Order: sequence, then C-alpha cells, then structure tokens
Amino acid sequence: MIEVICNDRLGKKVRVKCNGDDTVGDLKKLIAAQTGTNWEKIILKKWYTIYKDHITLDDYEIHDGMSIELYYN
Amino acid sequence: MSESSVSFEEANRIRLSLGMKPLKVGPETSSTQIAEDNMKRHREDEAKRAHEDKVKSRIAKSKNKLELNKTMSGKGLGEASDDDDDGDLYKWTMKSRRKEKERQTAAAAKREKELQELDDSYQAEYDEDHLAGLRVGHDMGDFAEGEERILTLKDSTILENEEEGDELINIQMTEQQRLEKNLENKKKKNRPVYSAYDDDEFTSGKKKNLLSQYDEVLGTEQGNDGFVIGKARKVNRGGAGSLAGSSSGNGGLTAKEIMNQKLKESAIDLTYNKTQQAQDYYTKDEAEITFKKSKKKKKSRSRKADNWDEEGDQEGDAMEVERPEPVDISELNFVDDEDLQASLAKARRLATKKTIKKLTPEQIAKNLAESKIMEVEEDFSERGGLVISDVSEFVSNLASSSAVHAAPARPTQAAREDSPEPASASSPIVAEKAQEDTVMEDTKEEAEEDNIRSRTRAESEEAEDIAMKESKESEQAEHEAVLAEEPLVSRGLGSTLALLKQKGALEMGNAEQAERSKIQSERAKWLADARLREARLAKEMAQAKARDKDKVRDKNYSIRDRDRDREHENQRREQQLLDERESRMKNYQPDVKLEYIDDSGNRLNTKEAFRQLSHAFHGKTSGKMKTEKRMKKLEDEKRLMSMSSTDTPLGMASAFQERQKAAGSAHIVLAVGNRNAVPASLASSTIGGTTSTLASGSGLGTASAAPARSQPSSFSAPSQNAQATMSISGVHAPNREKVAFGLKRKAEAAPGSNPEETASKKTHYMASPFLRALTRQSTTVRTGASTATWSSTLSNTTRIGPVQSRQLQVMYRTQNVRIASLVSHLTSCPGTIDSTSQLQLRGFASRKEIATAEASDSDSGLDEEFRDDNGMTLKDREKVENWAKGFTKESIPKGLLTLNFVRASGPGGQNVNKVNTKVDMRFVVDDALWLPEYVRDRLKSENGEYVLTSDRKRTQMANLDDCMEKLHEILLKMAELPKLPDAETLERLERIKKAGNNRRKVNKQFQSQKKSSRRVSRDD
Repeated sequence: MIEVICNDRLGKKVRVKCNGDDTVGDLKKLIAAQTGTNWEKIILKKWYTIYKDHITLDDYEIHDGMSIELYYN
Repeated sequence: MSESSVSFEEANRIRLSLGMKPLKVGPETSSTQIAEDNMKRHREDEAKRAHEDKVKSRIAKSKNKLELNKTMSGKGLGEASDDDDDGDLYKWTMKSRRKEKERQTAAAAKREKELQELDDSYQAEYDEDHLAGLRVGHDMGDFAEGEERILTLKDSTILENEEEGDELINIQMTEQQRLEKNLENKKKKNRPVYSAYDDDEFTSGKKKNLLSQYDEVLGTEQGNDGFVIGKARKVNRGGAGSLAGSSSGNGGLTAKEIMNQKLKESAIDLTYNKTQQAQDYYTKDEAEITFKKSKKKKKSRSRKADNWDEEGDQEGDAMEVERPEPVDISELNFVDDEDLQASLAKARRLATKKTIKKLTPEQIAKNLAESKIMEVEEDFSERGGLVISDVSEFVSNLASSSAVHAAPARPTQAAREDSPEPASASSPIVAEKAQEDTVMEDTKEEAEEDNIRSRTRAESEEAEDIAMKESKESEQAEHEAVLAEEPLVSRGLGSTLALLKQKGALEMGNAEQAERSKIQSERAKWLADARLREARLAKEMAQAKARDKDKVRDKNYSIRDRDRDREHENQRREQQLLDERESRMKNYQPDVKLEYIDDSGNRLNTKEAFRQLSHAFHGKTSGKMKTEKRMKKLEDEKRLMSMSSTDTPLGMASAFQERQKAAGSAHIVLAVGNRNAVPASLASSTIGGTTSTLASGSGLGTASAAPARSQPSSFSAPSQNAQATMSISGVHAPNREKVAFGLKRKAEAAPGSNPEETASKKTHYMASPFLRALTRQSTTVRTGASTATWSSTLSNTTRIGPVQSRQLQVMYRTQNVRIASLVSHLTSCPGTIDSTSQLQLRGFASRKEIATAEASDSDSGLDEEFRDDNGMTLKDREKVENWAKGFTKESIPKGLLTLNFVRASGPGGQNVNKVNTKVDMRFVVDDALWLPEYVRDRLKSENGEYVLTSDRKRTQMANLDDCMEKLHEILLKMAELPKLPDAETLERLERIKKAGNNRRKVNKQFQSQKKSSRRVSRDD
C-alpha cells in the first residue's frame, strides 16, 4: 500500500491509499470517491506529463508519499 | 488547506465498491526495495569476506614469525663466544687473523687468475697481423734501411680519429719534418702574393682559398701522405721486420697496374686548345678526331636523292630562264614534300604502265563503249535541263497553268536566255527543245546552236503572240463581264474553273499569286538541279572508287602511298562536295507560306489562328454568343460567295430583261417625274417598281443606266441620278443637301415668274422625280397654294418610301414645308406611303411641327429654331451625333493630353516595382476644343481638369491603350443626347398647357366679369 497526495491547489488536497499496481484510472476513481468529482473529469499531471489511465502507478514510478497535481477538464 | 484522508478500512471499502482488490497490508516491496536489499546483502557479504581475509593474513604472519624464530634458534653472538673461546681474546684474534689471511689469498689468487686469463687472451691474439690497416704518418723513404724506429699512435682528437683511423708516427721524425718545413717557408717568404694572371685556378684546376699563401705554413703535414701497413701481406717482411712495403713501392706489376697502364695509354686528352679556330677543312687526322655521326644505311634512298639532286641541278638551270608555272594551290597544300612527290609520280607512272599493259583488246573496246555512254550522259546532264517524262510534262503544265495571267511575262523571259542550255523548265516548249537537242547533239553543234537561237526567237514571238491574244481575250471578257452569263458547271471542268474565276473564288492573275507560282517553279527547277547534281556526284564517286581499286591491285603502290592518296582524294572530294553544295544553295529560294485551317476547313488569318491556338492551349473556347456571331459571319461570307455575280439576290436584272422582252424595246424606263412625260403604256406599270429598284443597289445603277442612255427622255443627267440614289446610305448627305439647297436658290431666283415654268425649266437639276415634284409643290406653297393641293399632287406622282421621307425632311428644313398636314393627308390615302417611312415622317413631323406650331402665332416662327431641354438646337444635336459617330479611339488627339507614367501597384509581379506602368492622363476640359461643347459641358469638373488613370495592365503601352479606351467610352457616353420627347408626350404636354391656359383664361374672364359686374353697378 502506498499513499499519494493529490492537490489541485484550489482547495482540494487528498491523501489516497492505493496499491502500486493500481492503474492511474483506479487512482482517479479513488480520488473521485474521496472528493466527489466525476473521475472522468480528473486529470493527473506531474509538470507537463499527463498520466494516462491504463498505466500503473509503478510504471510511472509513483511512490509512497508523492504528490500529484490534480486538474480537471 | 486541509488534507483529507480516509482510514485503511474506509479505503478498502471504497475499493471494494469500485471492484478493486483490497490494499496490500504492509509496506510496499517494490523492485527497487528488493534491489536495495540485494545491495545490502552484498555489502554485508563483502564486509564478512574482508574480515576473514584480515584474520587469515594475521595468522599467516604469526606463522612466519614462528618459523623465523625457529631458524634463529642456536647460539647467539654473545652465547657463542661464551661457548667456544671461553673468553680467550688471544685465541679469538688469532683465529680472526687467520681467517682474514685466508680470505686475502683467495682473493689474490682469484685476481691473478683473472688477469692471467686476460693476458693470455691478448697475448695470443695480438701479432703483426693486427698491424694491418694501420696508417703510418711518414713517407716510406724517410725510414732508412735497417733503422729501428718506435712508432706511436698519433695524438688526435676523437673526431679526427673517427675520420682517419689510428695513425702511427715517430715523434722525432715529425719534429724533424716540421723543422725542415719551417726553413723552407722562411726561404719562400719573399714570393709575391699577387699574381697578375689569375689563371692558375684554371690551369691547375684547384680553386684558390682565401689567403692561400699562408696555407702551406700552417698545414705542415700537407703533401705527406704516408703509407698503410700490411696492404699487401705477401711482402710484409721485406724490410725491417714489422714494416710492410706499399703497393706503389713494389717493383712487381700486378694485374691492376697493368690495366692502369693500358688505360693511361689509350686515354684521350679532353682538354683541347680553346683558341683553335674552327675550320672548314680538316686533314684526315683532324677529321677523325671530331665526333662523327654513324651513317645510316639507306641505299636506295640516297641513290634517289642523288638522282633528284642531279635533276634539281638541271631544273635549276632551266628555272633561271623560264618563270615557274602557276601552281595549283590545292596541290601545293597537299604535296609540299618534293621527295614524296617524286616517289608518288613514280608510283603513278608505274600504275598507268601496268594498267595499259593489262588491257586486252576486248577491254579496250568495252572502255571505249563506256566512255561513249558516259559522254552522252554527260552531255545530257550538261544540257542542264530536266529529264522530261510524261509526268514531268504534266506537272510543269500544271504549274504554268496555275498562273495563266502571269504567263505572258514568262515566255519572253525564256526567250531572253540565248544560251543553248535552256535551264528554265518553266515553259514546256523550251524544255521540249532541249530534249530534241540532246538527241541530235553529237552531229553538228555549231549549226545546231544557230538553229536553236532562231527557233527560240521564233518561239518567243509566238509566245508573245499568244500573250497578246490572251490579253485581248481577257479584255473582251472584261467588257462582257458586267452582264455576262454565268458559265454552267455542268459543261465541264473548264467552265467550272471559269465560273470560280468569275466569282472570285479562284483568285488568279493576282501579282502576288504570279510571284508565288514563279517562285514555286523556280524551286521545282532547283530541286531537279539538285537531284541531277547528286546523281552526277554519286557516279563520280563510284568511278573514283573503281580507280582506287585498280591502284590497290598495283604491287609497287605501297600501303603508305595508298593511304596518303586516299586521304588526299577524300579531302578533294569533300572540298568538291562543299563547293557543289554552296553553288547549289546560291539560287535556293525556300517557299514558305504558313496557312492555318480550322476544323471546318476555313482558312484563318493570323489573328484567328492565334485565337485557335490559344483556345487549344488553355482548353477554353469563346462563349456561345461569340461563336454564333463568328458562324454567322462565315455563313454570310459563304452566301456572298454563292450569290450570283450577275444579278441581285432578288433577280432584278433578269426581271428587267424580261420586261425589255415584253416591251419589245431596247431600253427600260426606271422612273418618270412628270406624269405627262411618261408614255401612257408605261406610266401605270413601271413607276411602282422602279423607284424601289433604284434604292436596291448602287452597282445596278450603272448597269440599268446603260440601256436607258439611248432613249431621249427626261434623264439628262444619269450620273446625278446615281448620286441621288446612293444618298440612301447616308454617306453623301452633304451632297444631297447641296442639291436641295440648290433647288431652293433656284426657286427663289424667280419669285415673280410663273412657278410652273421655272420648275419645268430646272428639271434637269433634279435628282429624282420625287424631288422635282416636291420642289414644284414647294414653290406653290410659297406662292400661296394650299398644302392639300400639292400633297395630293405629290401622292399622285409617286409612292413615298424611306428615301422620299428623308428628302421630305430635308425639304422641311430648307423650305419650311409643313409636313404634318402632308403626312396626315398621305396616310389618309392608302398605298402611297409605306409603313416605316410613315412612322419616320410622323416622328419627324411631330417634333418639328409642334416647334413650328408654337411659333406660328407670331409670324417670325419660321426663323426661330427648336431647342431641346439642354437648350440645343437640332443642328447642335446633329453635330454632336455626327461627332459621336465619327469618334473612334484613334481619333483622340494624344498630343493634346497630358500623359504621366507613374510607378504604382498593379499586375506585373516584381517587375511592377521598377517600371512606371501606371498611366495618368489628364486634360483641361475647357481647352479641349476637339470635343463638342455639349460634351465639354458635361465633362466639366471642379478644377476644370479631367483625369483618367489606369494600372490594370502589365505594361505601359497596354495601360495607355486601356486609358484611351476608357476615355473613348466616357466621351461617347457623354455625347449621348437625351431622347427627344415623342409625339404623344408632346401632345399631352401641349394639352395640359392648353388646358392650363384655358383655365387661366376662364378664371381671368370670370374675375373680370366679377369685377365688371361690380363696376357696372357704379357705372350705372
């Protein structure tokens, strides 16, 4: 289990517990469950890299305690 | 900002609801962690191993120490003394000394042994053999016999030693030598340093050094060469034991020395006396000494050369007397080698001899026959004419017949060529003559020549006769042409041709055509010539080749000669060919005529051709309207072509002829002005038609006038008649007016006399009967007769067509005939006026009549003129109209316009940036007197200048053209006159005006009555 911190810098900051082999899509769903936004509206970014839904957190090398930028479309 | 987080259980619940597997308990073991673990383990392993190694090495060390300790077991230094000597110092010293002694002796023995060995080795090797190759620094003669001298190595530096090797000297002897040398130098001291002759350098061959006089003083050993020991080992021991004699000192001659001697004997002194003069003649010995070129063996050549020399001598004698003949330059070019020429001449001579020898009687006969044939052929070809066959005859006929009218010039031209070789093939007769000549040639040429001359002269006369006849015929044809019958096509090809000729479809006799046909015939001639020449050339080539073959067969004719000959021949032939070609091209006249024909077979002019090309290129054709227009034009042309040239389209000429037949008279009366003058039989039938026929065509006028001439009638001036009829086209409008004005003046000239009389007197001035009638009637108007009477006479006299209506209009202007009443009268009696002219007259009448009607109240109304809205009189209007009609783009006076060319935007790509393409055209309107005032007034702008620009086109000229076009358009538009109100509106206007007037009148009357009624009361 790892914990990632997702911050949209607009007032929402969530700490999400997830597995390393979860996909980004799964993470989005978890974030959606915690924040109440539609998961399909969520964009996860690190600088200019937009994380794609079908790729796992491990593959993106997202580790425990990392912060991910949260955007919406 | 608060960070929201859920508990583990909550998270797992959410995951479950989303259908995801639960969270893994414990920290994440990722691959990196595993890697880290591995690394850790690895490090631990390494540390363990290092520790083990350390321990092991420590063990090993301690082991070593142990072993060392073991070897050190036994007695120590202190212990030993304690053990052996028991503290006796004496014993110990004695012992140590003994040991020392022993050691020393051993070392000495060893040393001795070594030295001994060394000595032995040297002693064994060094004997007198080793002296071989050593140099001795003294002369052999310095050593006296039996004398013992000690030689030592010469003192020298290492470098010197390297260069020279070891040298042995005797110190005493060197000292002695130096002494002697010094003495000698002292003796020489007084010798002068400078010698005037600086040539010992040349004589001795040694270059003098700087301050060479001191060289000898310093260099003591110079000249002392010394000798080398042991060069010849055999004689080594001849002298005082260790010394060996040098090679030069020995009396015995070795092989080498013998050789040397020989060489010396045979040597030639290369230094010869320079001052010896070169001489023309040497003695035998002298000559032998000089270098000689080995002679080549050229037996035959030299012999030939000798011969040639002899011949040359002989010729040389001759040459002094006679001048050298002019030599062919081409030959000079190719053969400038006399030797070669001689050999060639010989070869040729041999060749000819051989060929002559080989000829058998049969061959001779054959050759003769061949030569004869060749002669004939050559003669034939020299005649220069054509080979005349049926076909060529036909073709030449065709060529000449294509220009029948040009033909008369040609026979004379042919006759002018007096030479017996008539090169011209233009006239078939002459060509025939040429053929005859060739047949009879071989018998008597001179007589023949005279014959030909006379005959050609006769022929030329004949040709001239023919030409005369032809010209006469053509003249006759011209006379007939006017009313000639059209030849029928069905009669044959000749008549067809004649028809085409008559109709102008087949243009001939045209100067250009004649020229062309001439050129064509010349070209044909040229082609024939060229063909003939080529044939001749080919024959010659074949002959030359045959000759060459003969030559090849000749044995004495070497390959080289043959090659050279062939080359020469080839060059000559080429030159000939070139000359031939040049001469051939001299009168070459290419006949080029570009003709463009469209799909339907019509010939196109260049513009049309270009359009067609352009359309093909762009894949675009002109629009429907344009094509239709063009097609119509073509059709019209075709119709014109197919029209009978002797008759009008309506067949009037034939109608006349028929009429003549019916009347049984040779003449025909076209129109009669006075009813009384017309014979009763004709009056009713003719008049109706003839006036209209007069209007139908001007060409017919002359034709129909011819038969009329014979009849003494009222037609006293037929040419004037024609003029009047032609006035329909409007071209001769001024003429017509002149006539009319003339009439007026005539009418006014005799106001007092009987108008009827004057009118009849002046009839011969009248253009048409109608005019005559009009004039007469107009005079009656002036004298007070009513309009009705003259108009009735008029309508009786003739029918009014368009011509007459115009004449009436003119009449109005000049004589103020009131037409409206006339027209209304005319229209009341049907059949006298046709519909179009009726309309025309009505319009005119309404315009004029109203204008005059207004003025009619006052008596001066006749002089006052009509003015339209712009205040223009009719004359002004007409002027403007005429100007507009005659105004074209070209008639714009460019000199009066101010033209500026400016650089501006527009089409033209980059080019437009550097070229002044824009045209700025301006002119001051008031100064533009070439424009009618009406136009000027309309053009006028604020500053009085009119400006036009154009930058639509790519070039200046195109823009200028565009500008002109614009100006033309604008001016034409400006010259457009407002339409005159038609009769109805005018009438309405009039009515309104009248109504207004009436109303006013009525009002006025009413008012006046009102007032008067009031006044009445007071009056009463």
